[in-house]
Amino acid sequence: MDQPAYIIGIDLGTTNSVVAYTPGVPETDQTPEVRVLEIAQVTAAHTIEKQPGLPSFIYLPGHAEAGDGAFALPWDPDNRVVIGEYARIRAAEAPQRVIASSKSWLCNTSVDRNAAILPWEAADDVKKLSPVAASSALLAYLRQAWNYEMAGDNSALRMENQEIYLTVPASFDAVARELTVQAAQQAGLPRVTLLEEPQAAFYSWIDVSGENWRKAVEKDELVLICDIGGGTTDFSLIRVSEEQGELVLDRIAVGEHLLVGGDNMDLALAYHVAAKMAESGTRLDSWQMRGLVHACRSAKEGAFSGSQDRDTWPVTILGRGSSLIGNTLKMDLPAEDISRVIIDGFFPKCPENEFPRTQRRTGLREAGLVYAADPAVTRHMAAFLTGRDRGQQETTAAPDAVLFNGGVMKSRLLRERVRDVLDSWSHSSGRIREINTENYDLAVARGAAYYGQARHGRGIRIRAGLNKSYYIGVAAAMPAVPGMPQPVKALCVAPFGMEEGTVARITEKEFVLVVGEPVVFEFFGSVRRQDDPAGAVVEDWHDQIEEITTLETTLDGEPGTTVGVTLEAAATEIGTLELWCVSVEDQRRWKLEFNVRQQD
Amino acid sequence: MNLIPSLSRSSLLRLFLVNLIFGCLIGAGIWFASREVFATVSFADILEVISQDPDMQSWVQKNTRGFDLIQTWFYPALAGLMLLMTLIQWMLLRGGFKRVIRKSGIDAASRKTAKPAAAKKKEKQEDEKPAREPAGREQKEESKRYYLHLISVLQRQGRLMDFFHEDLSAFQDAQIGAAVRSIHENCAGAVKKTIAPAAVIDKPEGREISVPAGFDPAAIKLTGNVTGEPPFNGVLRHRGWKAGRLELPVLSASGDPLIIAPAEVEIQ
Repeated sequence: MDQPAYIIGIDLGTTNSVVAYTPGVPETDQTPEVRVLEIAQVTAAHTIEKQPGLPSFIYLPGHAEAGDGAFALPWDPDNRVVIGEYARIRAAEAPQRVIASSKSWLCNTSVDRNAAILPWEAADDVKKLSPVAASSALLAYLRQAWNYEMAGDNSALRMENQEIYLTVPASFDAVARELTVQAAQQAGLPRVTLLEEPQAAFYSWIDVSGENWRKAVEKDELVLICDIGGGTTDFSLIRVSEEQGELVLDRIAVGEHLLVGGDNMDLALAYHVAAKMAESGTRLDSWQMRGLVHACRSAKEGAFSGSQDRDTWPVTILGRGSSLIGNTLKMDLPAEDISRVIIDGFFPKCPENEFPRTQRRTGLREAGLVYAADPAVTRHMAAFLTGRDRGQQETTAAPDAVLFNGGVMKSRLLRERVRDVLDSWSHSSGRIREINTENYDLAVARGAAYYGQARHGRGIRIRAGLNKSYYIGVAAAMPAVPGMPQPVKALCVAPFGMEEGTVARITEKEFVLVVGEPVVFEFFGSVRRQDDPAGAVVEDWHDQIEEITTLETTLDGEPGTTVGVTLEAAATEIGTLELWCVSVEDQRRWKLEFNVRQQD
Repeated sequence: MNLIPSLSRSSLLRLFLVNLIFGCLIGAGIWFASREVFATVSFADILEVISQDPDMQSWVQKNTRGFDLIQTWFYPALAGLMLLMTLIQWMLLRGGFKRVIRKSGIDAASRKTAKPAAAKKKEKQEDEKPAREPAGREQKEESKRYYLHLISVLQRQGRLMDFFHEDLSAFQDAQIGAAVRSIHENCAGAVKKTIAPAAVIDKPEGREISVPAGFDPAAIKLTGNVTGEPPFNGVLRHRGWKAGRLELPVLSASGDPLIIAPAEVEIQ
């Protein structure tokens, strides 16, 4: 196949999705320009408008509402599922019919991710979708919007015929990555390559600053990428080094999956205001509460933008219906309160060795999704930077520069707050540098498109590899004690940083498996242990390695016989992990499949 | 702008096919009819009748060449006529939808509406006029929608209609001020997003500027002591407004075009 016309970067976000593209073959030697696709979407009944992003919401209207072509799309006059801006509005008005945060459900191990369970707690007449199907529906929508806007009748320009880079949170484990690729396949995009979001944000900065980025960082520096979006928070660490006179970038660590973001901050502030209003005898209904959340977001953005210094920020909830002014509720929210709720709640000053608290906070937990137990982003950041096991010695990474991304980080004062906290940990003197980026919302998709160019040798690449060390459970060789569970050791099958396109073969351990019966391995992962090579056995692992799921396969052959196998792990070019059983006698191979059903 | 050529190409093909079928039908009809006539009345009978009348005989002899000519050239002439008709119909149709497309403003938003309208016309090519009228009505409904669209966006995002409808004399200034803050913020955001307003002359008001010859009177309005020929020198009093971007939404033809905001009914 020829070089496709476009390289496309898709940021399939928790709350907002963006598609960026760049020509596949640049006209000159210059790095080509990256553009953002305007996506046609339903913004009200009978109305379609274009916006640079697509809110990641799916609204499943009832029969009565969807009739008469109210939600007709330019490419589908009989459309009955609304995706985008109108679905986002409906999420507040009719939550039982709207699927939100489908991406976070993809990595939720407490549910079967192929079962039709979304919208969570939906009414009976709603036709539900599985987390994979929901992600797939979003991707299929993006594909159709692209084909309508960009391709017309020319099939060579259709999205499925382009080179596509799809971003995932750096914290997505091998299973969630596999499911993302499956969702893309179901959406009619058979060839996608995965890229971690913080890396994409970094690429976007390289793209925007051109050659100047080489001046902004120095050799042997560590760059922290702090990506706080609407629903998730993601950390990555990049090391700058020099090889043969050229700067080289390595992604050396990623954080754990954190479901806390800007939406939680707005909610926390809104509950604070609602409690204050309740003290003075005003009770808010759910409609007013939504208005309040919106007003609180504005107040938060105003207060932290640093452009105005005020003592109070007005929060108004307009009256419902036609009595707009008469029923308007107004409160002057002291700047001190905003600061206390947001700064102390989400960005508290803490020592570098303080770990996130584990108790559940009821205000932030919603049934179904496992939200971060501790909303304090800074404590998660402390845990990310410390406690890394490097050669049996716990060391703290002290980043020299920080790159911010995500909608929350548009606020200047919040960026400064994070830098203040980082400074208080840093052992070297001097203030941590902030790498200036623009466009905190669209950076990830743009960066993904740039990465496509870089893969063709037209730009610099970050050396990354696997985001975790992966292990399987093996029974310890000791006599079984009745009534005691047999201890399980962790055997490293794929080490951290294993490069794409490479294969690790574990010859240390041979398994004797029964043919014709299902074979199940326990599958673990760790972001803390980075130095275990393939084949390493960890005996005491429970505090550093987490269970992810199980791996399953059924060996074909004559039932009842046994076969000796070794394990093989392959980090694929597209960013997924495959595990294989390889027979030691003949070279027969069986692929181990991830179990995505509910985990106990 | 490759919409027109592609439409005319496809319609030419269809017209040709339809006229070909018509031509074949007419030709076959005549052929069968003539065969029918000669099956019941044989040629010999006719000759016999003719030979009995000397007047008729001489007339037939005079016109034999004409009859031969008609017999050999009838079908080619029919084919030619049909081709000519195809061409004329095509040119009429092409002029028709060129005008419609130009009127609707050819862009991505109108692609959806222009195509079905043209397709409908192609199907009803035999009677062109009745086909164009519904398309025109549809367009009229659509312009109504476009006209109300911006105010519908401002109501949806900033409650502007609700605000206009209020009787301000019933409230204290402080109350109004509280409500206006939110309305202003949301409406300003919506306007910025939909039309990205920008100044016509992006210079500080009060600055002396020069208006060159050949300026656009729609973009620059001259006031005060306007005499003589341009260039004019004057003081910029108002920077003017223009839309920084204008992306028309796609509005579906169904539904009541007069709705600005739906009534809300909460199901308990």
